[in-house]
Amino acid sequence: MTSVKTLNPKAEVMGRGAALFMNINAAKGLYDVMKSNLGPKGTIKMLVGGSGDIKLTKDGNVLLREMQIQNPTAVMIARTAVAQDDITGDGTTSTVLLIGELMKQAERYLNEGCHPRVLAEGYEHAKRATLAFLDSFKEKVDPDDRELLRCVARTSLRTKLYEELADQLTDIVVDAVLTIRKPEEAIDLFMVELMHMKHKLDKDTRLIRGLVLDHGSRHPDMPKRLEDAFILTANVSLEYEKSEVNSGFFYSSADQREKLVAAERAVVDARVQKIIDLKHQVCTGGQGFVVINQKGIDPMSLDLLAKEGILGLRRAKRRNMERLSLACGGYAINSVEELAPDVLGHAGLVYEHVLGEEKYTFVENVKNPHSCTILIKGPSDYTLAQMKDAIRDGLRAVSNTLLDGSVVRGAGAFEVAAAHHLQEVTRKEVEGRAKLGITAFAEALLGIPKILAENSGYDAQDTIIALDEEVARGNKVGLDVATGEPMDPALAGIYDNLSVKRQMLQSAPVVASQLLLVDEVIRAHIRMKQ
Amino acid sequence: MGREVITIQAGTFANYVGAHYWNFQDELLGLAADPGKGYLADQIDPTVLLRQREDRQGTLTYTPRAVIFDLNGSLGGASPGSLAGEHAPEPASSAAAATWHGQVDVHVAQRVPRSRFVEQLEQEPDLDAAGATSAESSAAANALAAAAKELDKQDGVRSWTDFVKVYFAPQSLCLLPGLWQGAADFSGFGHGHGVLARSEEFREQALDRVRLFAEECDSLQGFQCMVEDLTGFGHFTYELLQLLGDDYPRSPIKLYALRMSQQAASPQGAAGRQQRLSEAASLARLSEVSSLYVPLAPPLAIPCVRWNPRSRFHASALAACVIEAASTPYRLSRDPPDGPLGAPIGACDLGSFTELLRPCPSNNMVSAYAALPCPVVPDLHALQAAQDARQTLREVSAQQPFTESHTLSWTPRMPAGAAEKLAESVVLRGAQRGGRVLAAQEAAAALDAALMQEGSRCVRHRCVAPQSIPIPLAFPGVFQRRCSSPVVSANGRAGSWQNRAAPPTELGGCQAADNGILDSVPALTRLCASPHAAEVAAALLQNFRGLARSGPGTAILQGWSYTSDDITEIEERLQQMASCYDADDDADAF
Repeated sequence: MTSVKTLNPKAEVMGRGAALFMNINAAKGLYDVMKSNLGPKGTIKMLVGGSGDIKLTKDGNVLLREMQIQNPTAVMIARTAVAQDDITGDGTTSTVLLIGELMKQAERYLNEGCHPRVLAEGYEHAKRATLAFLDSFKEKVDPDDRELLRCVARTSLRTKLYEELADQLTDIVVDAVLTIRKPEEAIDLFMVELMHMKHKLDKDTRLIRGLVLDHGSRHPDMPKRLEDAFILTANVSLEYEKSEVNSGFFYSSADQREKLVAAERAVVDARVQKIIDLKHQVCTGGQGFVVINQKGIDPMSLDLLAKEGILGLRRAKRRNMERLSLACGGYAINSVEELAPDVLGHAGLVYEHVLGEEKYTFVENVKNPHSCTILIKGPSDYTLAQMKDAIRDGLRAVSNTLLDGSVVRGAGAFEVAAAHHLQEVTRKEVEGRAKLGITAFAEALLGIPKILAENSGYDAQDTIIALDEEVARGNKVGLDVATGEPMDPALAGIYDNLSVKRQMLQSAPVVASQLLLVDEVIRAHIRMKQ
Repeated sequence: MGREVITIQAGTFANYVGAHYWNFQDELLGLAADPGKGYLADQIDPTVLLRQREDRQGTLTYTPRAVIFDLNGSLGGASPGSLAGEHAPEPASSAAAATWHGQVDVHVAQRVPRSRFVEQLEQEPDLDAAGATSAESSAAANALAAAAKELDKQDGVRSWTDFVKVYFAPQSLCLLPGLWQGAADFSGFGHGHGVLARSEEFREQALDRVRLFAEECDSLQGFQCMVEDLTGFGHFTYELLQLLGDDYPRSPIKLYALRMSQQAASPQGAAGRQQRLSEAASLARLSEVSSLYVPLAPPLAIPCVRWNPRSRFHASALAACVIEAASTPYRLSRDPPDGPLGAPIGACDLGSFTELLRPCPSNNMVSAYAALPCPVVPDLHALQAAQDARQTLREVSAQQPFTESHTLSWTPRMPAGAAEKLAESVVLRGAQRGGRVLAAQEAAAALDAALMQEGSRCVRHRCVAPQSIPIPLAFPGVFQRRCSSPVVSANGRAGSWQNRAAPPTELGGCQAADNGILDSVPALTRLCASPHAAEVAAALLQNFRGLARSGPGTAILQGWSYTSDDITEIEERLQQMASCYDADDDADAF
């Protein structure tokens, strides 16, 4: 059949027809799995593993990760969708659905004898036209418009969590991003710590303008609660360690060994003493003093600190050192020589919270919080995991908005308008066969509001016709999932991210075209061990 | 003085070994409760490896201070929750989706069966609580023993969770996100490339697991790693240890590179090429980020041991015995309880231990030798006589000292014989003579005499503890009570073991309990730094160079997404390891 066969008689070759069929089926397979996820009325998926462990998700990205995808085409689509999530933080489901729709539409035309190349050309043209249209469709936002940011966050959260919870988290998410935002600097979402506690109810989730550390003091006499406290962040070992010379076994006498140990101990004690001296220097009016160290603090050093009423925490997370100096001021020191009053940060309240076996330390009421913590609470591990995913997506949505400086009306409004634009404007600009591809692309875009309608329990065709009519009248409308009628998303406060839409429009048609243009599938027969 | 050791396990086979290793620790805890001989087990400090917690009733519970990495789907019928001793959540009902008021789609995977052993084990606590009669509890014990025997049958063990009997801390278990057993190709060293680098979130999660344990430690001795190094976990561990090096710069890391068995010849074709590349990459990369790099694989033919080299359960059990014995020196109690058999000799900390075995900093590969089970220790007089004969007659006596007679090399590519050694750590656990366990002093004297008889001299640390390796119920029946030298047939296939009619050698050693179940094994292990390591590095470098320049080899390296920089780095490192002893030789010549 092909020259590959001559080279490797064991190779399996699939001709164009079969290859196309395989690709389309794979795309449709993923499409069917993800379809019911979309939108605020979608279905949540509960995955029960082979050992009875539960995963709960409505996030396409998580779902793709949990599916053991083996079909090579499906893997390719899934990678595109996961890349979408990496770049923009959302839109995984939409990307998979758009690829699926594009393949489905292509199938229709291919069955009528159309060449894949023609469709691919049309897709390429339509993609450029839609991206251009997106730029005219977007709306500029004022970065200080808190209400609009809330809308964006709410839109994202409501697709992942039930309404009351989503609404409650909206403020938390927006406030978190606004807290860490610094003028003229890129937003680093890692400065929002997500800490979870398996405790109480999901509605007890709250924003802490400060930091929560997942460990406490290791000395019974250390203070459990300090007000008006200086915070020292350090990366200094306060642990007795063996000196670096090869002294392991080779002492000439026991006496010599004792001396060496004592000398080492003295070095560590001197470090601790320097910290204590600093405490005496700054704490003149009964303020507290906290040492948060990235390295270890051994029991003897802890003892020295406890005697002075200093709270000492050891082995702090590396990222928390950065967060601490952003939250409390001051900066982390790497050697005790740097100790000076101006390296210290300050917090109004530091206290320990014990939950079962776990200890947490709260650092609150800080001077200039540029780092904060969202404390997620929930009754079970899988609800915690799901809320964490949802909050992360919400944070991304808000920071994307600030980054883009624009938003796009949601609820399918963009897709309907873009489809209308393609049919009415773009299609007339091009000549010849490419028109087919453009029509197919427009139909595929309409697939998304259709699924939204279906998931909400309305008739897809009726809804699309109603929407299209409104668009023809020049209105920007989307689907109201509560009534099934067209409505203005701006009034309902439904906004999507520009970057999410743009990324989706850039990647989905490319993948679809590539899959359509596959001529042959060759599986080289490599004998593996098993 | 450091005390606590954190164990890091990466890879499915490493977790099999780990599961056996933790079973040994659990056994030791059980033995320590025995009023008579308990002091022997108590001489090995459980808190070095295990974290101690007091539960609400005030009883002490122990969980391994271990971070365990594996692929999704490799846990068999166990979930992370059930391994931490929580009861599995009830099968999902739609009401469970508290965060969503819309529809719920429930997808239930087929339940993976668990071994009867684990299920039997879970029932036990109920019996205790109900105030069971002795008849009931002995019936339960019998059922447990029967279930444990089933493990050794064909397909008796499907996952390491099928035979592990300790509970883990909830933060111990960490599955690599998005990588599924069977679905992802993770068979070569480089397949782990970027697993940590790609996902910021997972990187932080992985480091956090280690940090949570480190935070609890008053003074951390160091890390011991068990790694399935020829698969993607090799490169994964390389990335992980690089990151750990920043946070724990002075903590020694002792790394075991674990393989299933010492194959006579590596497989042909693509799998063989990948394996040879992996082996070279593992030596270059992992030795760079660890203090000691110990490749470990059970030899095919071990006297008095009958095992199936195709069975993970068997191979891991043997490897775990060697690790258990070799890790003794830094686990001994600082203030050991004394008894009729004396206190153990040769405690040291992990830092000194690694310093000793690293005479040449640029080549930290250490080879492992073991006699498992350890032969009967001869009488001191007999040893003395042999020594005298040797000195007077100036010839090698016919009888080898017991430290050599049954000692095999457990490191691939290392010859068994008396290779030149630079430094050595010898551990003798539970030495016996004439059916009784020797006191520590007595065993140490015999060991010293035998080492003297060997003739070769080097820096040496020896550790003797009367506590032998306790064999738990869930252990394959690999040790033979009475045995002749086993013979492996030429093809090394499973089930082709034969007992040739040879005169039974006296190895005795293994102790059986009343019911005929083996309950402990004496062991002798030796970790050596030897100049031969340079030759191994040279051989692997040659392999790697040849393959990396060939078409199929390049394809594999590209599949690992290795750049030419990576390849040069590996070659340079191997070159450095291969030539590190050359300079020494020159110096000696002058």
